[in-house]
Amino acid sequence: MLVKLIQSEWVKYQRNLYFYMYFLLLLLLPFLLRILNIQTFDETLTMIIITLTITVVAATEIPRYCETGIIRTITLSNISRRSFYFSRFIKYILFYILSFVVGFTSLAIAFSNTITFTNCIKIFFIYLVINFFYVTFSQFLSLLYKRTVESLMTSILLLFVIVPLCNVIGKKYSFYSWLPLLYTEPKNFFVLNLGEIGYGIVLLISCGLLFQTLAVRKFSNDHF
Amino acid sequence: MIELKNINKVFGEKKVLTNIDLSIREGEFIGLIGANGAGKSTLMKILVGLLPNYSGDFYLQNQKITKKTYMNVFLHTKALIETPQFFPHLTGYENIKYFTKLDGTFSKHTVLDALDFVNLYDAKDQLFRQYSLGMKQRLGIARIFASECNFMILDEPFNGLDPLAKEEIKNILKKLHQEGKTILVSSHLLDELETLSTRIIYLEQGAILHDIEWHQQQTSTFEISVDLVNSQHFQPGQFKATIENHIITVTIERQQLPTFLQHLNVQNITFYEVVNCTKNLMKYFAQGRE
Repeated sequence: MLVKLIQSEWVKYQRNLYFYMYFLLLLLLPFLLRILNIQTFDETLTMIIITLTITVVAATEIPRYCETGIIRTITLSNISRRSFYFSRFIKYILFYILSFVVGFTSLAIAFSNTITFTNCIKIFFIYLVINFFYVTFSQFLSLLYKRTVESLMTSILLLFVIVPLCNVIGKKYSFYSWLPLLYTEPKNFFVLNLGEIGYGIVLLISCGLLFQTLAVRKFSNDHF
Repeated sequence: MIELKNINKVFGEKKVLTNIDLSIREGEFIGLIGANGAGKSTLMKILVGLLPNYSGDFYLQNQKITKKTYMNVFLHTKALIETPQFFPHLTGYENIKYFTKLDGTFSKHTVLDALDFVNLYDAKDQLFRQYSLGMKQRLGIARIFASECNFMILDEPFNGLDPLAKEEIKNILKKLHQEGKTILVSSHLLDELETLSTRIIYLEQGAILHDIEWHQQQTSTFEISVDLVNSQHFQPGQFKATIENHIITVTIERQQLPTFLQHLNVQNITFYEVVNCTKNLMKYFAQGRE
């Protein structure tokens, strides 16, 4: 299935200019910042670009298919709706891995003295969990709306505006540490102890799985 | 091949399909006709696995389709519902390649064969967004053809096409039928269906009003009205004929017509006019609307 997915998606992406531009940006960004002599640069900007791109793709792909009518051609193919939905999810995760490799290879070359392998691994897994949650949530929203603009705007607003705002305000209250969404600010992971990181990761994965289950059920029974 | 028993479908409070009993045999070319909102598209969507929430029994290859197996209906049927949509930034070839890769049936040879079958070989490197409506329809058929499916469902394949494009689609459908494919086509263009179909199903307000073996009807029966001078001497003989108001109505095969006219001559009956009263689809359609 994985080979089938990669082969079919490559047919589609090989003609996509944005796809190439995105990877070019990940490759060149660290060098550009170095030329501009921004000494305080760390991995944050690269990770924000990766997470934002994956969220945008996850929030818009199925709605775009619905709006253009391609979804009907897809649902009439020899692939079950469940498999198709999961294949999208796997694609986003593969996209994350590929983006991370490209982005961090470039970072490691440009800032060889500040980027360590252990740090890379830690960042990779923490952002993998965050991206897992963002992707499942955006995919769920995309099925709920089936409209590109609404799905995209709600995902961006909730994940990249409301959550950071909640983080700022929520810290004052005792229930803060029990809310999974509030763990999605990556910096939290780095300052929390192991137990708290574990709790946050478990919550994010559980919520992600819940959204995934709901979305698959909806996608399987939807009328296109 | 496919059997529907007592199929009902409700959208909200509106009953769209009522007690549909339908059996589709292999190799048939079925024309599905009916007014707008008669339930044609709904019936087709149920047949291809797009509408899971219906009531009644659905049998595919003698196996009952349950809620769990319904989503696998698309493995046996392929459909073209309205104008087919593909990725606009990909070429015709790439689009078929993408979908056959998704199906797991891809080979360069299959894709090129399918494009050649629908006369799109020369336009295979053209972007989908540059295709005309007729080319899009043909690409949709190529996509079905490449998936090597035996039962094809096409909803309004002639919609918005110019006469030449219509003729091309007609010829492609004829070729597919000759290759042994079972085809179900819904269309408002009755002339096209008349020449292609072996069977006609007429839907009216969600129910099947007529189910006609069209091919048989076209070749074996013929109605003639004859105006008579000496109608009192008329003897039907071996023919199935009735007489009313100096008009004889006879149902015979086309090749029997000269014999019947000779039969009238023998009886010294003069005829002034022979009218072919065979019901065409428009008559069925009009009758249904009354």
